[in-house]
Formats: sequence, C-alpha cells, structure tokens
Amino acid sequence: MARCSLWATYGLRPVTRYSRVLATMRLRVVSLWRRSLVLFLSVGAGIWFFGFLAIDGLQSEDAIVRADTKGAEKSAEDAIRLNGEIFVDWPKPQVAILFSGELDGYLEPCGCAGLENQKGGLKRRHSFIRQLEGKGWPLVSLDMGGLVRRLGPQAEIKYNYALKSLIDLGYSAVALGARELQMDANYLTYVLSNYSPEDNPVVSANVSILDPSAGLSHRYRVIESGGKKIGVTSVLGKKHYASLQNAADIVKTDPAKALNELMPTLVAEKCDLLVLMVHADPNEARELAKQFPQFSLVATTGGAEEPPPTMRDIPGTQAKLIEVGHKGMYLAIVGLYDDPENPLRYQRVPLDHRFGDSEAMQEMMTVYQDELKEMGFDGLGLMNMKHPMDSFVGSEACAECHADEAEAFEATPHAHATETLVTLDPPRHFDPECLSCHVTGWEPQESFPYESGYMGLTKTPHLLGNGCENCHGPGAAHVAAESSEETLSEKEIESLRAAMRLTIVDNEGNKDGQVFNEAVVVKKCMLCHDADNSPDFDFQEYWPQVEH
Amino acid sequence: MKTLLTIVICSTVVGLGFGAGLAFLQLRPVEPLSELASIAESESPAPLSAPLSDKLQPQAEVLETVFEFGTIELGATRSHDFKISNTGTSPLSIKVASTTCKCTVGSLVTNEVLPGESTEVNLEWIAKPRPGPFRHGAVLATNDPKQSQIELMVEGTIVASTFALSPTELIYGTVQVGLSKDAEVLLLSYVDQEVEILGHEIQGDDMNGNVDIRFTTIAKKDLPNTEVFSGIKISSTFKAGNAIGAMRGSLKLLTNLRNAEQLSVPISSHVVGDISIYGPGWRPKHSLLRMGNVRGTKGKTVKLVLAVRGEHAPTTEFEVASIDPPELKVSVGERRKMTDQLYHFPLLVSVPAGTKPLVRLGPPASTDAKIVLKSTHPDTPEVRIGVHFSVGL
Repeated sequence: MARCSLWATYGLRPVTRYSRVLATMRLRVVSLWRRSLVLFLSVGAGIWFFGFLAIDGLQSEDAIVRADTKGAEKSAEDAIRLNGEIFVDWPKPQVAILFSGELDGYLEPCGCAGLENQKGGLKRRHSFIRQLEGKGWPLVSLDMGGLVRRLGPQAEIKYNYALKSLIDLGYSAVALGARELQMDANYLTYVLSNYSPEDNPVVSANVSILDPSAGLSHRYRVIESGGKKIGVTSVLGKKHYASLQNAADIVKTDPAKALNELMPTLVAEKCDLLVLMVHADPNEARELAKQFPQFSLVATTGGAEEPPPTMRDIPGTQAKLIEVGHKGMYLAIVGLYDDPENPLRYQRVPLDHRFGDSEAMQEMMTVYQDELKEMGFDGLGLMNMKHPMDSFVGSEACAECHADEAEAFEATPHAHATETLVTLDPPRHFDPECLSCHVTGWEPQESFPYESGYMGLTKTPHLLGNGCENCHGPGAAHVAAESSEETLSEKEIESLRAAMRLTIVDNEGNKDGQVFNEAVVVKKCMLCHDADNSPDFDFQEYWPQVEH
Repeated sequence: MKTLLTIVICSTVVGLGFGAGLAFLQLRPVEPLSELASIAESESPAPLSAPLSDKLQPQAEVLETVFEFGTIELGATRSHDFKISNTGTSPLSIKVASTTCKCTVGSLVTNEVLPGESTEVNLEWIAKPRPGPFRHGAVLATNDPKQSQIELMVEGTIVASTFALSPTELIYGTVQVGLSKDAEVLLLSYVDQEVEILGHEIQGDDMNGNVDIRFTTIAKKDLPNTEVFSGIKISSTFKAGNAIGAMRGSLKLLTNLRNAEQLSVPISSHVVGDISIYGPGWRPKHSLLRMGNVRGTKGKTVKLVLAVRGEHAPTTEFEVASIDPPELKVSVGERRKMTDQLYHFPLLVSVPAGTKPLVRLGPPASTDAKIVLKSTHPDTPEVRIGVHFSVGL
C-alpha cells in the first residue's frame, strides 16, 4: 500500500516505464553510444527501482506518516483559507477566556461527510487548548452547558465522558443545560458525586441538584489567572422551565432572583471581571445583562448554529454578548489586556482540521466506545421496539429475485456501511448513534433497533450494511408470499409487492425548485443524509450513483 | 568488456544517487502542524516591507456586514445585496472563499472592482432547518492587504409555517417504582385549519400499556400566541411497573394537517427503586455488571455507587454476603449523605492482578458471576448482582 502511494506521489508507473525500456532494447540499436545509453539507463533505473523498494520497505511506516502529514498540511492550509486565520496581530493577553457551549453530544464530528468538511470535536479542542498553553497564554475555560442533546442511557454515559473531558481540559466552570437536567437525576447525582468540590466545575446560580447543601454544584466560582481575578456564574433561563416539568431532584429559582441574591457575594470578591453564562437564548441574556450591569461579559446559548464573528454590544450596558453556536463547532476567546484603549480582544475559533487530534481525547473516545460495548443495546434501553409494518429479512433475501438491483447495490458504499464502522479507530459498531445509518433495520433518526433489526456482526450477519429494506421497508411478508411460505391470493401478493415499490417523481430532489413535499424517495434518503451527516446531499447528484 | 564495466559502474552511481535523492525528499522532516494554526506568535506584528501608503493598494469598504432578515417562515427564500466599494488606488479582486451552509448562495456581480467603484454581493437564504434563530453567511477573499477576508452574514428567526409540537417530547423523567407521572405536549396549527387527531398508537413494549393518552382542544383564548390558529393539548400519564431502568417508546399520531399527516412524539422515562446502582457497565434492567475481558496480569476495578433513597435511607447498611467466584473482590465503602433521604455507598468490584484465566460471561444466567449484598433495608434485605467478565493472560 505504501509502495503504491510512493509511486503515485512521484507520478511514476514503474511497470510501464520498465516495459518501455525493454521495448527499446528490442530495437537492436547498433551504435555503441546508443547501446551504452540504453544500458546506462536500464541499470540506473533498475538500481533506483530496487533501491527504492528497499528503502520503502524499511521505512514504510515513516513513509505513511509522512504522506499523511503532507495531506494534513495541505488540509490545514485549506482550513485556514476557508475559515480564516485566527489571532492575527494579537499580542499575548494577560489572560484569555475560552467560551464553549451546546456541545449537543458531539464528542467528535461524525465524519460521515469527511472530517475535513466538519468542525468541532473534543480532540481538536484539546489540541487548540494545548497550543495556547504552549504559547504561555494564561487560560480560563468556561462552558455554557448543553453537553448532550438526547436522553437515555447513552446520553447519560456521554455526559459523564464529556464532563470528565472538560475537567481534563482544565475547565474552571461548566453550566448546567436543560438536557442535563432532564436526564435521570440519580445518574446526574452519581456523575457529580465522583468529584470533590474543588474538582467539580459545575456552576449555577439558580439550579442545584438535590439541594444546595449536597454540594454537587457551585453558585459561582472565582478563578485567578495571569494576575487577574475572574468571577463566573451561570443561570438556566426561564425559557427551559416548561421542559423541566418532570425533572426530579432539581431545585430551581427564577434566574433574576437568584442573581439578585448572589450579586453582593460576587461583588465582595473584588474580581477584575465578572462573567455571566446564560443557558437560555440571546434575548433572555440581554435582559439579564441589563438588570445586572456588573457583568462585563455575558455568554449565551440558544442562538443560531453559526456564531457571529464578533462580540456584540448589549444596548444599555457596557457588557458584551458572546455566542459560540451549536455542536461545539466553534470556541470564542476573549483576550484581556491592560490597555485602556483596547482592553478586550475577541476571536471566534472554528475547530476545523487545522487542529490535529489529541491522543488523550482519542483515548477517552476509546473508553467511551468500550462502555457502550459493555452496555449493549439492552443496557442502553434500546430494545423491544417493533416495526409498525413488518420484520426485516436482509438484503440477501431480496437478491434471490432482484439480482440486477442487488448487483447495483453491492457496488455502492451502502453495502459496506457496517464495515466502515468496524474499521474505525476505535471501532464504532457498538455506538447506536452511528449504527442507526450503517446497518439494516434501525430507526435512523432516533437511533434504536427494531426487534427484527441488526443486533450484532455475528448475531445478524444478514443485516449488515445499509440494506434494501431501510428504504423499501421490511420485507418478511413479501418474501414469504413470493416463496410460497404463505398461501395468499394474487391480489394480496401484488399488494405486498406494491408496498415495497418506490417511485421517483419528475424533478424529485432536495434543492430549491425541485419536487420535495410530494416526493417519497428523497425523504427516505434524508433520514440518514441529513444536515449533520451529509450537508452536501443533493438527491439529483447522489441518486445516479446508486440507481437501481 | 571494460566499456561494459564502466557503464555498469556509472549506472550504479547515478541510480543510487537518484534513489537517495528521492528517498530524502520522501523522508525529510516536516514542520509541526501546530504552526499552521496561525496563532499569534509575537508581542507585536512583523513590520511590512514598505509603508502601505507608498504603494498602489486596493481598499475594500463594506458599510454593512450583517443583515437582519427578521422572521422567516420555514421554507421561504430571502436574499440581500451587500455593497462593497473600492476606496483604494488599484483594482480590488473579490471572490467567494466559502459559505457557511449550502443554503446560502454567495454571488458576485463582478470579481474585480476598479478604484472608486462598487459591486454587490448577493446572499440568498432558504429557510430549511428547524424553527429557531439562524445565522449564515459567506467569506470573501480579497487582495486588500489590510482585509484579506470579509465575512458577510444574514440573520433572523425561522418560524413554523404549518404546525409545531411544544415541547417535542413526552418526558416523565425519573419515576419511582409503582408511582405515576404526567407529561403533556401541545400540537399547534399555524395554518387556517382546525387541527384534529385522527388516531394514535403507543409504540415500544416498555411503554405500551403503561401510558394513558388524552386529547383536549385548546380554547382560542388559551392559545400560546396570535399566530397559532388552533391547538390540541396531549396529556399523558405514565405508570411505572416493577421493571426498572430506562424506558422509551413513541406516540404515533395521525392528524388532518397537511404535510403532518403522521407525527411521532418520543416518550421516555427512567424507573428507579429505593436502591439503585450506577457506574460503568451497569445494566439496571438485569441487575448485571459487565466488566468485559480483563487482562489477568493487569486486573481491573470498577467503581460503582449504591444509591439508597427514601425514608429508610438513613438507616440502611450493606455488607457483602457472598461472592462467586471467589476471585472477584467486592467492598462496600463508607456511606455519604447526599440529602436526608438519599445516601451513596461506594461499591468496588475488582478482578485483582494475577488472577488466572477464567470465563464467567453468561448466558445462561447460571454461568454469571454472582455477588450478594445483605441489606438492612426492610423492603430489600438482599441485593443480588450478576457479573459478566472473563480473565485472559
């Protein structure tokens, strides 16, 4: 493999070139100088060829690394070209405050659309933080909460690892998001009780788990860094109260009331800068900023997926509003300077592929995947969902009659979708959020298996790949009818056939001006080819690649 | 013969030299990637080779880089033209470097703007994502040395155009065994149509039979805002049985709404008893700890938490009654008071380093390793824990 890449690197095709030399020799050139030249070239080329093979063999691993690094260099340049340079003309700040939030469960970008096209991930975040630390910038890292997006055991496990990662990354304060508070309160208690009060970064002025005396969160924190004293607190906005109707063991107070009670204590700390993190939306954050002008920086969740390139003024206050968008794709850095003219600088940081993967976060992903493996689908609460229509039989059963279509299917990546997960490092074939679009018989958006769906590589080998039935529907009744296992009338058999058929309408597609609402097929594609996992999906471009 | 020998030697030398050169190119050291992140290096920026004013330079001027669309209905298309002027002294080149989303189109009237002239960049947004705030834009690359990139943005809020579920899920949260909890969602219609539920079904064995659903038409005066034409309140009650752990399912609705004939509302709950266990590899439904494959030379310890709730929590104590196989080591630590009615006990389960190869992986359950804890809780005198593990070399 490495050898091929080396040949490709230099644009050489050794066999062809060697053949040409041999052909030249057959010409029986009579003159001595031409004969000498031929021999000279052939021996030289031969030694180069074999010499290079030897070096390649000895250094193949290095060569692979080198080749990859060259690709990464190019990719990093691409990332900078696309998303811009960062910290241009920044002197070293007295302290840099890092804001993140709404990770939404994206410990890593999913990778389906190519990691070079996706931002975010804790591995890149860690690399970025290490770069700042490597430059000697004093850093204070704060997170606005929203570490998970879903509910259930997988989300709980994910919260555990996300919080642990933020602690490992040196975060000083992490707010509580609405989703965290909707989780099983016992699990949240278990996670937070693993940390001593000094190590536990969870901060909220208006929400406590169990009761404030349990010590599972702080009302505020004061962080000293770079000679500055920074006071930080957070609130859960009223916006989320309705969704917490059944959140057990959560004690919450009106955010303004809680801040009113806290402010004398926080002001008495005599901080150089006060920061408020609002887990709500920009409007609620602006209102709180007006009520509590002591805060110089107000960071908020609930804005648009893409954060603005600058901090925004909050009318009627001296405070600045900070957003970081969704899914951990961006971080915001505010640099503090002892410069009356320019005391704050702001940088939005796109976590693109200019940042490498940190080994520590890679190891965390491995441990997380291992725990998913040990839990199993049953332990993750994903069992016992019957498909409303029928049972899955697997693509091989389809192939017995639909040979041409099966042949076309085999040539598509859909047929090898499970293999893609197995070969990743760490493998992701125990991760329901990945499996739901890489096997047959799962609900793609809610990430659970139907009872007759894929259960494991060896348990259900007939359901590997994103098979026929994921689009056409489970086919057990249709297969049984066609194989005479069931005695049905022609009308019933035809009815089952019709239920499996899908028709593409004229100009069907997901782009502007194409037929979408009345279409069926494109909507099925988009259950997996969604905005997260396939942002470039264009039905009219993709369909010909899998046409059958 | 001499000639041939000379040729062979020369060829060898040239071939080796060529091969070595290529090998060096292939294997030479590279700069670390971190330097490419363009993080500020110095206390002050490097001086330019000559003052900018001495040269002919393009200068991009953009008076407005953000445009607020306001409220947009889901699926609608809006566009805005941003004006870019060249106030410099040489032609300004502009091209679209990237857009933040495929829904945004960055189009340029011209790629070159002469000094004193202007051009327009059009950003078009098709409101396709879910309702909520949006912000998207395009990054322009220019040859203005002071402004090599210009970011233009459109912002606004997408609102539902036909219907909305508020909230979008039925979440019962943590429910004690044998108790009930209520949850509700609102189905709201934004079109001139009275919303009706034509049918419904609970899917998922965990939930089926445990959830009671009721529908009530919301009076006009009680609708959440004036943009909502009609609505139905979907009330539900979940009654926890004896099974503990995470429960999930979905409520399938058939409605009369266009483009929303079938809706799915996820349902979730977590049923707990007075005594619960938490930790990595713990499967509450089967009271089973999965430790996986353990390397005998290394061993493995899993830290769990025994959580005791309720009125008996302050007086409940545990002790290890039995362990099978004896290679497993189990200890219950000191109690930690979380609240008056919640206490935590650390529970450590270990396979010590040096344990010989062993397989207790089930099924059948008779091959599970077993830990029995004796408890002073009046309703739960014994806690039985199955363990799956294997020990390799």
